[in-house]
Amino acid sequence: MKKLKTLLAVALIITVGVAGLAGCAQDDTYDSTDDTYDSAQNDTPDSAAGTYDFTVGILSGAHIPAFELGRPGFEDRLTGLMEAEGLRVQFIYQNAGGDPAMSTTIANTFASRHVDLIFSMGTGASQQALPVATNAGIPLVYGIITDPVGAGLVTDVSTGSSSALPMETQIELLEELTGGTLNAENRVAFLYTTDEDNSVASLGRLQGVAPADTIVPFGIPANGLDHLQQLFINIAADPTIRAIYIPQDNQITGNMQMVQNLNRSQNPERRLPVVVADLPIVAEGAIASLSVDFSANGAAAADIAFDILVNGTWPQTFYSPTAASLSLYINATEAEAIGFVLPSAMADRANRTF
Amino acid sequence: MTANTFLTSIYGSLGQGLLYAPVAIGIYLSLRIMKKPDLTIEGTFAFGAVIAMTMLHHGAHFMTTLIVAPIGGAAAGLATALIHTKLKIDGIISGLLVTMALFSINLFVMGRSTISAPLDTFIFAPIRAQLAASGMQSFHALLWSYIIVGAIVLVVVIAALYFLYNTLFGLSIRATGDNERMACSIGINTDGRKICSLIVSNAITGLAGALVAQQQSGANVNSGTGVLIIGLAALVIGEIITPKNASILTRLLFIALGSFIYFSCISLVLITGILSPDWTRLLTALLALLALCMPKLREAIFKKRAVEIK
Repeated sequence: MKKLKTLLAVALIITVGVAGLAGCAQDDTYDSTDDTYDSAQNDTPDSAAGTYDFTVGILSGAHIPAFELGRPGFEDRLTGLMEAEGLRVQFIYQNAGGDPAMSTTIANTFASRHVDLIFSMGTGASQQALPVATNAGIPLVYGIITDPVGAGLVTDVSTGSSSALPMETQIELLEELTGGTLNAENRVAFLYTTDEDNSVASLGRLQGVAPADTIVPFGIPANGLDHLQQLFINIAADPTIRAIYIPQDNQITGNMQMVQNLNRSQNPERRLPVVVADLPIVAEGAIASLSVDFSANGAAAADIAFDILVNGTWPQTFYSPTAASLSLYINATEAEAIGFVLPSAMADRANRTF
Repeated sequence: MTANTFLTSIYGSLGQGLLYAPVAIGIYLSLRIMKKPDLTIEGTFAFGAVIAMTMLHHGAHFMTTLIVAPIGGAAAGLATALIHTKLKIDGIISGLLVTMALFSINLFVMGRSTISAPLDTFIFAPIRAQLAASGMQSFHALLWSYIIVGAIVLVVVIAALYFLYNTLFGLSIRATGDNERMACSIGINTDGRKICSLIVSNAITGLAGALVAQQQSGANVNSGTGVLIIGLAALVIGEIITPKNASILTRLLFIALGSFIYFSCISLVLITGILSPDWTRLLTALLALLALCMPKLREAIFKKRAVEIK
């Protein structure tokens, strides 16, 4: 017993000691990062990155298609802009895999590696990276975030590109698909996870611009895929519902095949067109999406990052997509599978057809 | 709510109830027969789901997933059992450790965070095609394919367990759960029996994971979250309607019935729309609580009646 106590005490001392030393070491790096940020063009702090003018840490919040598109969009644009000026940039990429604690750890690693700028994707990851960026004086540029203001991400050291959709465009798309204005006889089922902030915000914004009581919420709780089958029974039972809308909701878009299976299995007259808010998801069993091109969203963030690093200017406001910047993807294969006729005007102007 | 919607809902609950019933049975084997709560269930369920979906994704036949997924589950059960019996770690902690480890293993097996496979490779596809060809409404064909597959698998599982737990070996497992010291004193290797019990219960859970993943058309690292409470609710509801002094066969059948009743309750809540789906987890907990304290309530009511008769 005594032996055990001694062992514990030793372990505790070592832990505290190491943590303390690490803390000091980090404080040092923070200072030097501050210095190098001011004189970023003269020398790079990371000796391993000696041949590069800039080092950018990329923090992705999770393994989702949107972020996987945003990253090359950002990297390619920034590399291109830098090359035009005769500068070289290197990227350090880390994925937190949906774990908030991991986001903080990664952000700390970036700070201790003296990166010149952090690019973060996802609301959670950006929020977790913000304190580190603030303390270390590293500019934080984010991408693919629905509501930067609501998430408290518009600060002195952080800015970036928002992916909030202009909701009027979504209503227009739904009306074009259902062949008439939304009203009591022509309604839309809004399929979402009730405790996902992005989805709830989208629901409110969509209901705000749609005629009253035409957007009918059908929610499932987190980890509630076992409820989805019952929701489709309910949707099928309501003949006024003519389409299904799915916001940027990771739980549901991550299980699109189940949605597709349930929708395709309905009786022929109740197979509904599914509209999603994520372009890449269209290929996985939706009919159409008019949304932000995540690669372009990443590129917009790269423009801001270039301004900060090279021109030394801070943008007036964060970037927001406009109706003109949205892309339309349609899925003709899925339309045929559920026996739905896509309006020909839509097929003509689609940026991509699956 | 029309009669047709209601009927469809009942079919849906029956299918889900049958597919989740093995989880409740797995919990029964560890919690009631071995008298040890086993938290590995959530990890094992996701592991079974991930194994099955990854195999189907790479072109394996669905029958092979029904063999490999239980083996994976059994391996997870073995890991928990070895940590518990050989390293003398508390049963709950061992389960948590293995569940946590399985999270990384699942990511490694999938090579990404979610995985799916073409619908026509699933175990339900041939039966569903057959039913649809015979003129059944297509949504009903989907639900009936769940019911048929669920029923067949459940019959096999229950038959195998009935056989196993009535052999001398099975009886010694039950004896170990009932009174470990006594079992040890008459020369039963109690550690060995505990290991076997956990292997069997987790193999069954892995199998359920493989089936549910195919019903949900995909798997991810979070597939197992919440399964433990669903299984527990199904188990306690089943136990409350089980007649007294029932054989193990009757008990297992009533647990499956409990699973159906659980999903019917949730469906009814969702179909009538009286509660937001946010509350279904609370409802599950309340259902489980009600079922758990039913013996006490029953006792209280009967005692009162006995007094009145006097």
